[in-house]
Amino acid sequence: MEITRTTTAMLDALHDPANAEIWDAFDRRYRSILIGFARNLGLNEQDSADIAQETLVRFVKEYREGRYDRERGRLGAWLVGIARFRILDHRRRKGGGAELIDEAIAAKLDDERHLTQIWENERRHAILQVAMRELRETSRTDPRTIEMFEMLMVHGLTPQSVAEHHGVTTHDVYLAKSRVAQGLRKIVDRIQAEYDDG
Amino acid sequence: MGDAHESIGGCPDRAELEILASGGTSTPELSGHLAHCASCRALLKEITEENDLLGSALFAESNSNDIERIEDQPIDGYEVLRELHRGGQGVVFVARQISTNRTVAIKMLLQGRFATSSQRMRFDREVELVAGLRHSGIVTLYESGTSRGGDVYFAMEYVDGTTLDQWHERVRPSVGEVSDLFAKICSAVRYAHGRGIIHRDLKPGNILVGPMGHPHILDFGIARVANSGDPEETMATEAGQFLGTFAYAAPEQLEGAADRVDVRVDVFALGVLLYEMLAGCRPFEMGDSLAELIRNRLDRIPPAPSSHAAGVPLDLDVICLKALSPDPERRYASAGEMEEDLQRHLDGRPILARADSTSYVLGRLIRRHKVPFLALATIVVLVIASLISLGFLYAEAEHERRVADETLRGFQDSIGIINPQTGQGTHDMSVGEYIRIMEDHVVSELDEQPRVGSALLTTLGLIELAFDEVDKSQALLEQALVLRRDSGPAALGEAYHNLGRVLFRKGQYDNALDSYRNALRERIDAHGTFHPDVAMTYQHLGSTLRRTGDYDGALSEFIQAELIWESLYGPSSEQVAGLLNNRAWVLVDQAREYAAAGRDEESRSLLEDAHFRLLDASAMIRGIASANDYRIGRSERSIGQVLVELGRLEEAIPRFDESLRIQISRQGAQSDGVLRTMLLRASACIQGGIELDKAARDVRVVAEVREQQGSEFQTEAPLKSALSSWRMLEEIHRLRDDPSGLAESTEGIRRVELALERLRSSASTDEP
Repeated sequence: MEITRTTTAMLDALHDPANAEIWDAFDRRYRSILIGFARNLGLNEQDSADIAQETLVRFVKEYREGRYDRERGRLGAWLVGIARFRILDHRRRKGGGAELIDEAIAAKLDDERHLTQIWENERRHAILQVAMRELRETSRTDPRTIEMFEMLMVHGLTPQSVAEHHGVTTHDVYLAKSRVAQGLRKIVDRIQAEYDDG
Repeated sequence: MGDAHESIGGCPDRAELEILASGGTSTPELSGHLAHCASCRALLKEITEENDLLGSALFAESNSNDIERIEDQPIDGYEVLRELHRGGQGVVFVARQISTNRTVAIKMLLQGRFATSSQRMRFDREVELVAGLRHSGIVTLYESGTSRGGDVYFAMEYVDGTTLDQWHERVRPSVGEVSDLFAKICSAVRYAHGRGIIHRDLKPGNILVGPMGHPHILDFGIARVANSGDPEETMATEAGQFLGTFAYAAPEQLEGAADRVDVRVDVFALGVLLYEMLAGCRPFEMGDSLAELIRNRLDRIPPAPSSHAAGVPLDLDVICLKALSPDPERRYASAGEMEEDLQRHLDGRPILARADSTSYVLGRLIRRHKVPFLALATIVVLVIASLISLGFLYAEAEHERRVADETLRGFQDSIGIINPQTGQGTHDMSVGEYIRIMEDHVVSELDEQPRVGSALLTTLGLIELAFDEVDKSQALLEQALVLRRDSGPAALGEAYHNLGRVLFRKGQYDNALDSYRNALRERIDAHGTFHPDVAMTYQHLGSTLRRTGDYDGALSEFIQAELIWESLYGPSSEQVAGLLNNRAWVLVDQAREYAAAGRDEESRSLLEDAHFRLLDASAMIRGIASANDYRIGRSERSIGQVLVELGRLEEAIPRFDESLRIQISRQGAQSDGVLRTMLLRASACIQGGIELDKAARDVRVVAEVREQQGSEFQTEAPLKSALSSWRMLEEIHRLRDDPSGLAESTEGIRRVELALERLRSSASTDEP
């Protein structure tokens, strides 16, 4: 399973520069959030990937220098702060110093609350992604239930078609969907708690 | 969940609730049943939440690219050309309507068919609302439908324009052009208001300006029908989340007071927009929390736009501030009223919302607060500089702000007309006497104006501090602090910060730390973390901790400040360079401690590190400043000092020389900075036994200038400096074996000691 550590445990383990596994986990957890964050601020895919890379590198540097003080704020806020600056810097470099940062992006970057909101949305998005993967790969929900759910929600078939295909009632199809939702909720809550710890 | 709710007492089948939860329509029977059956309502809520969770998760998993999604599942009758805009909920594409060959904009929900129920509800409402609006200032909706993939969409008029903020940036419109555009915007909003529709999310991105300068309002995604009693309406718009954009939201919107949200929230947003266009900045600070945001908007009337941008006429100041009134009752009652005033202004007719005239009151105040002349140019400069910087503190209430501005201007006027050559009976006035006169004015005439009073006390306190009169400064700044207890976090933070400075200067580091920490709390409360004032207090906290020997603590505070500066101004700014300097000095302190403990190697290593940091800072400053910039001079001096610590005296002296060259060219030969650098250079010369003649000349200059300053200002600090300079000169003459020089410096020492004694005894007899 990909995410099994709380943020505290992860941060503690990050003190060991040789612990490649933990750096991988950290990278997996935050890279996609950072990319989504930058994408949301209007950057293209390539630039967003660069921002994520630069932000993670910068965080590692600051963390090892002891700059990240958990009492002063959550990890997310710290990463947002770095990413914000990286985006400003990136745009500045890209413009060769002459071109001003795109106004719309600049306005968004000035709005701390908006940035936090984007970060939270992206974090939620990442949690849901991880949860869905876990649901499919490791959940104890029986395969037929998952299959009914997929047919209904992913492939957009009508409840009647799904019921017919599986030889059950539409009521059973809805209950299958509900069971999947409950399983997903549990996974999401657990992962959320792991992330919230930071 | 699930079965427990079903088929009890005529409850509907789960499938019916599932259909309803997926956006299906309810029958009167079902609605009637839901109104009475709590368990069915609970089940409906549960299903809706489960669907929303699954929808969001599937969307997250698919991570689909919208344009590809649409290409895969096209909209009949349209050819999608490109993505135009992406908002929090929706995405807008440019498309061609095949039948008419016209370009249209197609809006779809970002999450497509995975959209949550509330997102779908808002989308449907936008379709419903915009479909009923026909106005040249509002984008026209052509049709709505569902794509083959099941995504709901609507096609609307495509405006080949720019958003309001981009228009402002590109066109740089005159005040008249802004007024004209806003009259048109108000007209469109008035039209919507007239049909009972409140937009609730007016912001630059929702107003497009076409090529002919005509505005088009779009995105009625969170609009609301005024006075609607529809319970679904209430549910959709009060779902515990704030809808809209913080920067443009009226206080009652931020408070979530749904019952008080009416057309005047749009008036408020129009006020913010107009303010931005006129002043070039937003009227309110964003704050750090929703509570702070609300407080900012409830408690603070912003300064008039004309205070940010010259040339904004009084009429527009008044129109803006009326629209921005925290109390909806005092705002324009509708966009139509605002439009009327803008039109009146454009036509040169008097506007209806004339502010209360304050000219009579102000004129009287100016006459009352004229102060006596003063012939000390140095003080004049200090006073004016302080007053100007402090003038920004009064922006809390328009009336008081104006009174304060005018009062301060009165002081400035009285000071500004001083001619030091002709000032009557003022040549013998000491700093203390002048300040006492000022204090009398503060106490006797301005006690009815606590904000003005506290600002003047602060000014006086800072003047005292500049002259090292720390006790007097402390007393004044403490009084100012008391007056500012209820003045909001920004002013209170400023007061704590200033008090921290004086306590620091007095060497009361623990008290200074307390004061700075209070300042930090208030300033973060007022401005959020990423603000220059916050960085500055962190910086002072760091410097104070450095003095207490808490080097780790100091570094930690400096790093906080550095991160804020970096975030505000980029990686290579004057501020970041300053922080590098500060951090270097912490290393120097640590190095000195190590040296004192005999740990020479570690000490040297820290000094080397400090040296490199200073070189970095110097390179940073050179990258952003001209070759003769005073900051380069300061930086060279710091490098020289560390080189002295490293014992590399011959390298240090050219650094001091370069620093002096720049400082003298910028500040004159006898400025404080120059005198200090001269002493540092001389000290290095003494230490290395090199260039002693030049050192002697420099030190004599310092001693004489300081002595003269001491007798002129009748303050201790310059006299103390003069004393140590004469002593240094004595040492140089001893090294040079120069008896006449030695006699001269001994005489200087005696003279200054006497002056100091006289000053101290006169100060003690002055005390009550």
